[in-house]
Amino acid sequence: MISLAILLWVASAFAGADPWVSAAPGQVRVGLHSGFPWHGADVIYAPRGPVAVTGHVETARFQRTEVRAGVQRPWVVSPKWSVLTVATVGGVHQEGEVSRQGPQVGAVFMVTRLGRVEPFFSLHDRELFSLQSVQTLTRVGEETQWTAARYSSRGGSLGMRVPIQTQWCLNVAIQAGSVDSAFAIPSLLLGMSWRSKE
Amino acid sequence: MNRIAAMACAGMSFGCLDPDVLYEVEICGTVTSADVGPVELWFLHNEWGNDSLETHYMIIDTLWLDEATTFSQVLQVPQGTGTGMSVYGWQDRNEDEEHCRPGTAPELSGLVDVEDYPAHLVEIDVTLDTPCEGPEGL
Repeated sequence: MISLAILLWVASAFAGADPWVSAAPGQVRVGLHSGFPWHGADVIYAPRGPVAVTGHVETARFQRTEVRAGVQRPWVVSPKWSVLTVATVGGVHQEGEVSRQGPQVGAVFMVTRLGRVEPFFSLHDRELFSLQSVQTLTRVGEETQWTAARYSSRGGSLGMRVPIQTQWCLNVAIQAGSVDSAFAIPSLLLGMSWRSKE
Repeated sequence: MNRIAAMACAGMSFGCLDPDVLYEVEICGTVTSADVGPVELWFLHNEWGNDSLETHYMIIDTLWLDEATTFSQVLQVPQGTGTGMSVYGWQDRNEDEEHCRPGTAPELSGLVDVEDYPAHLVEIDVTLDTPCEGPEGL
């Protein structure tokens, strides 16, 4: 972990170009990522001004699917640093031994070092309001009840964006934290982003 | 509550999951032992999980008795990948809440397969006659 942080710090020393952390006014950015266990896609569009609308679809081994829509805003705090805040709403559907479903709200705080390559660090908090029906089979018949519970998915990512052309960027990240209030194994993501011309 | 939950669920774009199904079982019987002391009973699925998660003897519920005597317990048994039912018991002769901790005297244990399961009312007898064994060893 320390060596990766050092690598990111060294990489960030290169002088900067346009940040990939967000979309410029009128610009669309589309991204795909794959890894273990998460795969996903996202789209970002900034109609005008710094605020952009976002859409995300992610799946963990096609057992858990998360769909999110949100708004994001970059805050350039210095020529070298940018902060991005994101707020999302969406839903979760998970099948298997542990099933989950319900609406989810989330927030992301991301710090990016601007440059020819862009190391970044982010923290996220997603709150799932799970709704589950429980059917009890008794001697006298069936009884169905709904149960509600809140689960928190909190964690962080450490990664790097490497632009390979004006419109294409390679992304790599590791992510760790919890999913639904339980420890989750760290995940590794590799992705590619495309953005329209400004 | 049910209507609100159902509407909220239906409002989500990707639909509702099947309900978690619980099968209610009233299990009663007698524990016999030649020894004295509290008894802990484990109510178990014989098999649980699929593929790499498959395991023997997954605990459904537990029950402490003051001594080897009669018992009655209502279980909400999760339906899904679990199959079969067994009841395991061990006697805490020295009341240390540990089964056969090294350096202590042997403590009796026993396992019985609940052949009548699935049924809403079953009766079993658990005999503790084997020292220091877990469910897998019996």
